[in-house]
Amino acid sequence: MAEVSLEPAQDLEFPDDPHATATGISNPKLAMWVYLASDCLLFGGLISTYMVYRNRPGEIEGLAGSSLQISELFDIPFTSMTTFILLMSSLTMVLSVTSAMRGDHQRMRLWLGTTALLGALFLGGQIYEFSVFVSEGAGFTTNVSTSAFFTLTGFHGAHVFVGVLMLLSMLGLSFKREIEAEGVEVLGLFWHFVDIVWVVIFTVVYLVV
Amino acid sequence: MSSTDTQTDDSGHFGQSVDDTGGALQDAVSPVDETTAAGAPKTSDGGADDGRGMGHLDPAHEHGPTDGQYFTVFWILLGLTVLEVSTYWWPDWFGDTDAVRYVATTVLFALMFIKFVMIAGIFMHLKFDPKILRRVFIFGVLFALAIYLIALSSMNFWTDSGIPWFNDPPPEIVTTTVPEGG
Repeated sequence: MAEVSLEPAQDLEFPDDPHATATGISNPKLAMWVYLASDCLLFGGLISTYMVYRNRPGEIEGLAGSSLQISELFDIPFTSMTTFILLMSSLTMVLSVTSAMRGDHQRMRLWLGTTALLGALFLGGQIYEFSVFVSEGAGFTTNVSTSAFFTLTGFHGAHVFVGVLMLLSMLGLSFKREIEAEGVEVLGLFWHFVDIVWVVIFTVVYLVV
Repeated sequence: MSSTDTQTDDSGHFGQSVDDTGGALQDAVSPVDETTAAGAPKTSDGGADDGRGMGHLDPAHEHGPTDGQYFTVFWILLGLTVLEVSTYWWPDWFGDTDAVRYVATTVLFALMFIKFVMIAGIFMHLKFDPKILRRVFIFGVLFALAIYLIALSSMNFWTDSGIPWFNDPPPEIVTTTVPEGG
């Protein structure tokens, strides 16, 4: 039976480096990737739930509800515009990361602020879209189809909201002290993931008939 | 990870093999530094820098895309999105037939996949970072996909959802009139 060492992993190349990790990747970055991988399960579940219920509003035995399909209320040109805004925010985020890597504080702040602004615009668009749906009679409890839709897009909106808060926090911190470029990169990973999830939601929920 | 390929960063914080940062990956987006791309050890601006501060370029980023290349990727993504959105009007342009719907759905899923890979690979730098990160994320995506495909199948999604791909058209409703007093 092979012996198992209980000693902590050491970087054989740089044994004296206190920041060295066994994988050669910093812990925050690895942790963010593990979190994003686990978040796929959350959104996978929400998307699957919507797919199951999208075509059968009001059909589930024991659940009252109108037969209104939320997809009948979609305004594709409007949602396309918010999709474009989120896509553009991915570009500004990556420009912010490269500026941070170059040590260009001014541009990093500019792009961080732009990304936060675009994220806020996307959220505003989503709130407007929700308000139109509710005014048309499609609320959260109207039927299982609308519940699944609002839960899915609401969770995505919550991610965008948290992302905007983190962007603004990092922007504020950058005026007080020098922030690590890696911190901007890790935040960028979260932001791009939010964009990736929207790519899937926009296709599966809005465009596929 | 071969020791000969390991980056000789003073801090070792971002130390990783050139293999792991993706030798084969560098052809899609042309590398900024061909010397690094060729696998020659390259030192970073170590010294007092702990490898995470402003201005530090870790090895993966040194041969990542330039700002101009990020813009190019953005315009490609924008074009793909426009193509995606255009499928909404395909039934109006080409006729509201099953064939048009099937083609549109296929195109939409293909475009979704391409956009997903481009954002994850280039914007999230997965293409240039150590392979372990790619494996972690791909495992998460595939695990979620497998679980929910099984869950959807167990809920008869493919045969009981009204999706024309997997369902026969509903039988025609035949009405019969019963003659009065018959």
